[in-house]
Amino acid sequence: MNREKSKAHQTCIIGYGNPFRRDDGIGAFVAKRLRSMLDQGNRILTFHQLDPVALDEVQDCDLVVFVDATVEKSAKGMQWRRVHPERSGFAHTTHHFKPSVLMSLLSSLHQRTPEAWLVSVQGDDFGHGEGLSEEARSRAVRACREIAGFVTAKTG
Amino acid sequence: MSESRKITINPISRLEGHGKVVIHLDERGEVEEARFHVTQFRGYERFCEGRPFEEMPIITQRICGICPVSHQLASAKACDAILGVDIPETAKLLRDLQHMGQFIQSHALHFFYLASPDLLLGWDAEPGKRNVVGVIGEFPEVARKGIRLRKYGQEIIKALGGKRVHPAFAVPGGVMNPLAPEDRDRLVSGLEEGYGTAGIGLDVIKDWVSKNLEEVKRFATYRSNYAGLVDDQGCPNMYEGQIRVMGPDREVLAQFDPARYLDFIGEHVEPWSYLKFPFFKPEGYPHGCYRVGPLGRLNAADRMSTPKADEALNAYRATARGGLEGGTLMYHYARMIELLNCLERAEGLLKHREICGKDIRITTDPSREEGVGVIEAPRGTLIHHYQVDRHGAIRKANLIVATGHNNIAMNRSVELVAKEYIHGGEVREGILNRVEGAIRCYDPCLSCSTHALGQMPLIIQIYSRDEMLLKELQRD
Repeated sequence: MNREKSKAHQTCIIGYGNPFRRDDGIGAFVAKRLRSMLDQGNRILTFHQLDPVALDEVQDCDLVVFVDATVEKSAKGMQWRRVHPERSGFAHTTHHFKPSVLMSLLSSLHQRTPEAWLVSVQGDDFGHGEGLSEEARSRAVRACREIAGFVTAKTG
Repeated sequence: MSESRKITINPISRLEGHGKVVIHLDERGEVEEARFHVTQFRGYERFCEGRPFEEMPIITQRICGICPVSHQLASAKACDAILGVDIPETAKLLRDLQHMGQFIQSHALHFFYLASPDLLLGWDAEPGKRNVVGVIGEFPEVARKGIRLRKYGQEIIKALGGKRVHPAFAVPGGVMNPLAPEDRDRLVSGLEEGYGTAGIGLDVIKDWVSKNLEEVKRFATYRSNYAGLVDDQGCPNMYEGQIRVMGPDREVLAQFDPARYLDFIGEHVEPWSYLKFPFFKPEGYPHGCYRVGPLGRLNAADRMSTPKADEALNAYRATARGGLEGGTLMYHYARMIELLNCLERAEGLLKHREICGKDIRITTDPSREEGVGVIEAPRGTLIHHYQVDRHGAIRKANLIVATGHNNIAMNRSVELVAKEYIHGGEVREGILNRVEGAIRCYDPCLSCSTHALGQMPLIIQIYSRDEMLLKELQRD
């Protein structure tokens, strides 16, 4: 079950959320689209919800980009935030797992703190159903372009 | 202390879902009563009504993100019964294999992530560190291996159903996809590491139990019945078999075809919880308390179906004999034996000559208006029971999930732990953690277990700071 590891700069993009709750599927949408936009050497994953097993996926990475939907409104419709390890944000259950906690576990377990970013894309409709709302889709498409540009610039 | 007090633990941490515990102290500061309230509310049974029965395996797996495979399998089995078919051998093997993946990932998650902080760091460790972050700090290798074992279980699920969580695989009459030989080989190559990690888990809990025998005895150890599916050799079987109810003195009280569950299992409703209270009908409520899940299955069984797990069961029984059979903390020990058993069973299935077969589904029209599907989910016996109309639309759905079966037992455990450790009104954080820990042993999934919309009264109680009840709202 060992994954062949690349010695080159390793990037992991993790889109997470529930695609059956409309715009909560933004993370999965972005991840799927990025697969055709980025070099195949980049690791692109989707998670229904962020999970401790993601640790195994990012342990050898230099750059990690998390993509999630948010209800938070912003002028741009999306926000980039640097993710720093956070030891205090540990949730009561495994149903809520923050990128900052994942980075903290990574730091403790593998003594590594890769550069990590959370791209929060604004969603409007989190009701039952598949497919993104029109506005959210357009923001997600924009997020793909930004992330692809960012990753390409970082990794050459 | 001159008046009664109430202590509330809310939310309870390191379990799946939301619940609260309320402990009432008398005027001397001794525990008068303690209750475990399940405070989240779903409603699956009701909103399944009217749906085509073929959709049920996909709809009901959404009940839970931890054990979707279990719900999908129980549902598919109920649908098989409605179709009136015996599914092809390969389909059965593949369902069983995916179920083993489910057990492996779920038991690994619970033991290494949710339970190990209490065992490895101690009940009284600083709360901010008493979590998996703390475990990683002190025991990084144990944590790392635990996470990888969970991933391995998820890989089995994904190899068959395309996704780690909420896979689309079991369908009425069989499964959707065969197993590719390259996926089989890849999964076989991961077994060795899995055995190593299960061995670590087993060593951790054996060592902990042997060093903490007094605590195990004090900690909600009580006589109860136990239940689980057993095969014709008396071994626990997670996929099929008969439901056996074993008494506290290891006498079989009942063993029956799962389709007859209503003859033996009743469901009681209390006004203070959204979770129903199933009970063993011949003994009535609340005396008919039985425990399901790892402890229930092991205590209900004669032996294990695989050699390594059977050896571990013998060691377990040597430790448990003479009083600890009913030890709530022994759930953790039993869970690790099951983890080993599931790895061995997964190996047997992966190496079965028919596992990559292509005959995986029977398609036909429904021939019956009722179907019951029962399997063992990681947390215990899971029952899906559907009645359909002549068009195949669901008329009625009844789901009894593992956490529900354990509801009486969890309440009893909470009360026993509270009474054992709280005296004179003195309540330390570590003691409250033990009360939570009593529930954690059962690994309840509260999201799964609350699905009976419209059947239970909703009560909202509003208390003043000095514990005067100001207002009570009730929906009947």
